[in-house]
Amino acid sequence: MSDTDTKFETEMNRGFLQVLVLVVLEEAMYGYMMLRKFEQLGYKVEESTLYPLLRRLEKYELVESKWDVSADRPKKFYEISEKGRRIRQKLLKIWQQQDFILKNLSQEDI
Amino acid sequence: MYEKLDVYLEEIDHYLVVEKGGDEILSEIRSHILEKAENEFGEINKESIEKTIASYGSPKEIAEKYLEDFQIISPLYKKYLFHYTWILFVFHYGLTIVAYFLDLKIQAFPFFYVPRMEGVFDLLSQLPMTLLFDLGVVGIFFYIVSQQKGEIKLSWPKIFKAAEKEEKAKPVKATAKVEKAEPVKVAAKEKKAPVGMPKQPKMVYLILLVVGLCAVIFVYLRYGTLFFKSLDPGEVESFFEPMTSTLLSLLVISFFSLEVVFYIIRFFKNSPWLDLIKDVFYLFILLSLINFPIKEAFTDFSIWDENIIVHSVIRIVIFGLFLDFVITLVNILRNRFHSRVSKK
Repeated sequence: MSDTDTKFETEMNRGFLQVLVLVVLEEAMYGYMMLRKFEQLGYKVEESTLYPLLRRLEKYELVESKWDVSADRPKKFYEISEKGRRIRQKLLKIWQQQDFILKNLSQEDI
Repeated sequence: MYEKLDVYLEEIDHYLVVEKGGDEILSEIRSHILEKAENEFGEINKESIEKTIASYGSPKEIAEKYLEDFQIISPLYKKYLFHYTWILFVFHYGLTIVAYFLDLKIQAFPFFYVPRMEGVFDLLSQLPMTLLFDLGVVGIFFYIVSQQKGEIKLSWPKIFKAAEKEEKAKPVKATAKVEKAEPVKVAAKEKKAPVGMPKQPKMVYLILLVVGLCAVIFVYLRYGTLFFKSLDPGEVESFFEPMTSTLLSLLVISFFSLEVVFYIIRFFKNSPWLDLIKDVFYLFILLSLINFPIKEAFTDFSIWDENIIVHSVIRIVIFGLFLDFVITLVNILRNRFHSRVSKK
């Protein structure tokens, strides 16, 4: 796969992953748990992509986090915030519109 | 057991340039790696940690992912970094040259420090140091501007934008693929400035002019003339008699200075009228000299009538300037006429 392919795929996946994370984080999860969840859904995500994204979402207050120190090792749990829910609604609406547009195009056009 | 992990995190920390939260990022990465090691290899031990680190990515790549949103200088300002540096450099090195001639030390803490120089070598050695210093100052300025959350629009870039547009509009050099180059050429021709309209000023020319002016002033101050009969450093002799030599040297310096001043004005207002005003200045200076008596101008050629020779040269230059003035004026009026007709 060429660098150009990778670049465009990464860009597209980044947007999708943002929405996906905001959807699955309705339930509090830690990073590795999320990766497994995505894997079960058939979507392979590198940890080096997911964790910086989680940090970015946290920076913009779309997700909240807290360290759980009850176990042997501390784990950082993430959960969607109110602001995150609001943004998620908007993003899902945009995605639906985009999906509608693409579906309406004929196969030859694509 | 955790040595490799600590080394790995230290390497990430080396590349991780964040204002705050760096330690937390490292704690997160540690937690993620241990989590993965346990889940994928059954237990946390030296081997499972090493394998997990190997699959996690290089420290540089990991740090880069966390820095995607962080930019030292915003891309909005990157292209102006060198423009501003050149402007500051021209001013700063100009001050350095002044300090050299006046044997001064100029200090404007913390922006400028020009030491007292002892020779031309000192002056030249200041050149790269001044450039690097100014690049640093402008870099810090853009760093501060980039870190501001509000929108900061710098006022000068419009001048450079116009210059860049002209640069982009230049035809592409002919290559083997002539067919592909043709449409670009046509587009460039369409954008070309009308005949007689001034070209966009370029910083490199301004620097050359300033350097030239400084060189001319330097030579005049050191030797008292710009016209040499002999270039022997031990026996410098003027081509003209002292009074004529001074007069003509100052004439050259004033012309050079005018050229620099008008070129700087062009960065702010690039109008064809500037050429006319400049011609008027030149004509005014030369006309005031037309009746100036020049006796015994040349040190050696006493058989010539020096007065006639020098005045004839001045008259020829005046005629050339007047011709240039008329052509420029005609071009301006023609362009104005064409623009009015096209509007109608």
